[in-house]
Amino acid sequence: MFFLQILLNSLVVGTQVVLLAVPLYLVYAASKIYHLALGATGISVAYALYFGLTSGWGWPITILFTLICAIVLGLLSFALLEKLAKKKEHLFGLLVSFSLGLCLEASMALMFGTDGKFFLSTPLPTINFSELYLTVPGAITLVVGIVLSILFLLLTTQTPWGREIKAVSENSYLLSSLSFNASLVRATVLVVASVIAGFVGIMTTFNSTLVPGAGFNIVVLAFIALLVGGVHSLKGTIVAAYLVVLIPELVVGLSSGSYSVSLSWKMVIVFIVAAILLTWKPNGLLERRERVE
Amino acid sequence: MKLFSKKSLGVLVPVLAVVLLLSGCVNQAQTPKTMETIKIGVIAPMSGDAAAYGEQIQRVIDSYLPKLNEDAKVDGKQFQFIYEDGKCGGSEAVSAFQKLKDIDGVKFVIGGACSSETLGIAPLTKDGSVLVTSAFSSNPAIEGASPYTFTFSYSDDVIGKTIAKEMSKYERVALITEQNDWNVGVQKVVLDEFKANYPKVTVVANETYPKGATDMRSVLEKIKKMAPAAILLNPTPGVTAETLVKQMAEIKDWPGTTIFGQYSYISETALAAAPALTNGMIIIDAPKVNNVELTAFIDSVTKEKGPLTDIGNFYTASLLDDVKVVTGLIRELGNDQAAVQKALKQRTFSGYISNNISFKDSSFPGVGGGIYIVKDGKAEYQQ
Repeated sequence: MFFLQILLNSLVVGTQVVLLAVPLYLVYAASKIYHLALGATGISVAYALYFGLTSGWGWPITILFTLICAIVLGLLSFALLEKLAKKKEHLFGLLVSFSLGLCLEASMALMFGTDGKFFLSTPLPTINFSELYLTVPGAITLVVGIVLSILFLLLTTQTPWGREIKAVSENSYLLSSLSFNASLVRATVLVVASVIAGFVGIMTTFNSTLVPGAGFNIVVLAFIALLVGGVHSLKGTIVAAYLVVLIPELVVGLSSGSYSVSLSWKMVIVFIVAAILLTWKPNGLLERRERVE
Repeated sequence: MKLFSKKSLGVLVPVLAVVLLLSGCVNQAQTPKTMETIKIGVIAPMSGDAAAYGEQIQRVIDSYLPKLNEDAKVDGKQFQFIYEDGKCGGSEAVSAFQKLKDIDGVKFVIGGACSSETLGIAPLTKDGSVLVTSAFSSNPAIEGASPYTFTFSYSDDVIGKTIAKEMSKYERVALITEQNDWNVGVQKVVLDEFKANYPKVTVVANETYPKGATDMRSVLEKIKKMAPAAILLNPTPGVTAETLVKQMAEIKDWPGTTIFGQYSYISETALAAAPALTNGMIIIDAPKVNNVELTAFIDSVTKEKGPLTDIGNFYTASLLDDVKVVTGLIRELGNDQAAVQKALKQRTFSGYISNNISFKDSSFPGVGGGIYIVKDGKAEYQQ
């Protein structure tokens, strides 16, 4: 039971990372830019929800306001990154995205303070299965994470939309000559990415504490998962996200007594796992060797 | 051309001399003295998880300032407090200290509040340029850290020893500690004390988590697996303390486990985060300070500026004692940190926390530990 409980807790954390790694992959696939601001975007959306709820707006208006905030942040990212994506200035894109993330984090700190906030002031409601338990936000994260992962896997590999995204980043000029609107594709991807990031931000902070810097750790893990899984493979990214989170979580969680590994070692183990996987499979976990003609 | 003749000068000079002399006498008798403004720095967490403490420290000092300046008027002095954010961290406190010393030119600093802040700035006071007196910091490492650093708090040594003594009634104990100077200080004292004086006690789990962590569930599961009879919750005050009990309450089953806490759980806000779990918790903190004048002051601050529930009675008392002792010595000895430090080391003071506050042989004033039990969301003093 102890192992299963630790596994369940770790799966929730892993799914949070997967849910951020998916939009990170989508943005990369459409623009070749690592959109690191997604972590801060998610937390900003969570603050929007917190603001709505504490202002007494009621759930329907608050959810609408939160959704609008996520869309606006997606469009803001588009406005900042579109020119750089068009010019294929990917490194500048990364820097602009990183700066946007810092800017959002600082803005949240100024507006709401840096002290932690709780959506619920009491312990979270839980779902119990025999001796196992899962918090409600944790359970929602797991279910939505699995559904969205499968959905986006199908969308990117089995539908024309997925091919459009890849084509946009490969040769947007050629695509434009075929009367495809590359900018519209990138704008849609960034808005969708912001909405998913917002969902992750809300669920993560619902499950723990809302602080301005909460998105940083998750986006770092999602970024590592993207690199380890292979930037061209969503399946690889999802598998890598679970691996880089589950291994350290299980090492920390299952060690006990005099051999207990402190939670403070978690990120160290993450980097060790990532380094080993990258050395073993530098092109991505599920990448196959291809014959070069 | 001569402006004045010898004759007219002979009249003018004595007349002017008399006028000047008289005006000097009049000035001395009627116009107020030039007030000397003495700046005192305050380093406390004004932002971050422990911001509530900084805010409440400011409430106490700001409320006491009018009376302080009214009394100091007799000596031709007035005090000005300059607040800087130490963010409950060493490096941030150092930046705050340097700003206060180099830009504001203060010779006295009240703070830091968190032990990390005080331990961060203590080495910078060794040259005697600034006298630091904390009202809150209790890490035993402050002892002898600098001849110019003192604290009006109890020492964690005393608290740690009291925790160990109370927990020694159980054979299997567990500790969960946040990685912060103050908490690690308490953890070390408790573990050393178990080793030295309570050989029957087995520490079945001794877990730590990073400062400001938001998800401690895996650590709590590990502790639960070891089935301890008693657990010491040792987080920093504020949000982390609340998160820890909330996540512990989510796990639900802690049968037959007695929960111990330290200062972080004196606050009713922290206890309210998981009322069912915290009910019956044994808290080891400073002894309760009962003083009518102090209670009246706290009531008045609460009414006019807001509650002081996070810092509580003891730290309100230690802060007031700190401010009163330091400003009293400045009024007597002048804006001279060396003279004030010498007096602090030599004299004995009477205050709210004790009638015998003395720094003769220590950086601490020599206050013991108190035991509280949580009943209906409130920590009730036992002994």
